Amino acid sequence: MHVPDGFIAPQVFVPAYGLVIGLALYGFKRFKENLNEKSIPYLATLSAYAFVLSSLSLPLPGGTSVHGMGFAPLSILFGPWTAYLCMCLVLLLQAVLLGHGGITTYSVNALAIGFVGSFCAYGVYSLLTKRKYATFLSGFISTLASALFMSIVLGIHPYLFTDVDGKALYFPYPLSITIPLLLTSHIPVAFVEGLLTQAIVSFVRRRGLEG
Amino acid sequence: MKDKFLLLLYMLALLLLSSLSSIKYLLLLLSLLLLANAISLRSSLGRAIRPSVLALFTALFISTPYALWTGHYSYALLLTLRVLNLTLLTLLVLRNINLYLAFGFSKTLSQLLVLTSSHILLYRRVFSEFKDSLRSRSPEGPQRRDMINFSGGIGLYFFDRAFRDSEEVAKAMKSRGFYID
Repeated sequence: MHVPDGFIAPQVFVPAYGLVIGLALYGFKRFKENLNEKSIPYLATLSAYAFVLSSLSLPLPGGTSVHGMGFAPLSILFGPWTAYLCMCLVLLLQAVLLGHGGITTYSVNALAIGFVGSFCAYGVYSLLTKRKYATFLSGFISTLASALFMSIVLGIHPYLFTDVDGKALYFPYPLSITIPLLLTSHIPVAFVEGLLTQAIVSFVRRRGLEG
Repeated sequence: MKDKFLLLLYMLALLLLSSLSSIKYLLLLLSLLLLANAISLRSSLGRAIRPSVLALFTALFISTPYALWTGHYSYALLLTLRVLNLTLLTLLVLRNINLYLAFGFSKTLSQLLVLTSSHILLYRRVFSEFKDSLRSRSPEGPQRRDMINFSGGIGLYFFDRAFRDSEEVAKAMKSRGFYID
């Protein structure tokens, strides 16, 4: 899911940065209304929690293991705005401390994983809240929604950014390739995210500790 | 002030580098960045090799099929150069900048970054110890059921811990006068 530097045009990542910052400011304002002095430490420790959740992996058939991303359990337990803020922080620190994902692509990663993922997870869970597999489906569908968003952002590049010879200048593959490719490659990730969401939410619920 | 200025310069350089599509200029900038990294690392490029190789591999993995498919071979070179330039620039800046000071224009943001990164480092260490304990108790390797239970348990442990830590940090900050402007 993390897109490295160099594939996204400044005409895309600069407006995306504006959107990410604007949404984060709005989200933080909402977040602060309820907590005030506790807001910063609460958000910091929750972001560290999100980081741990994104480190959890499950084995898949064939000897591989896949990491979840952690936004779905966070969104269900604390709400989509909190999950979005946490994912923004986690992705920023992953980019600057660990080199996961690029700086120029941070904004698009944050929108795809943080915003689309968190809100989709919360929306799916709200719709299916009485169903048995609501938490699993929330994680599964939101991961695919994030991948779809990313595939659209990447897939529009060859239509918008080419030189006079028609040669791609940034990401080269069109929507007809990016959408099926990213969606199919993210099915195992979505499955793992669904399982992790189910496991974490049910463990927390069983303790009656919902945030 | 120096860090804020460097951060601003870095952002502008990122914009410039990602806007460039001239192979000649990108090659020139690459040589300058390699030189700057070598000086910065005191003539050892060792620490820059792994992320650069990873970036190079990703660039080639994406650009080579396209170049072969369309015959636009210069595209592979363009993308590889851009990715390498951006990676080396980022490595250079991150080694010479204090991010916490650079984000000092916003008290809230710098506090958030300091607290979050310190807790991430702490939680990562605890998490790796949990993983080691799981491995040591499963000589044949943990099964998927074990991993799901482990994930749920980890999720619950850090959930509790995040709340407890946030309460403690809030009290500590208050007692040290953080909220008095």
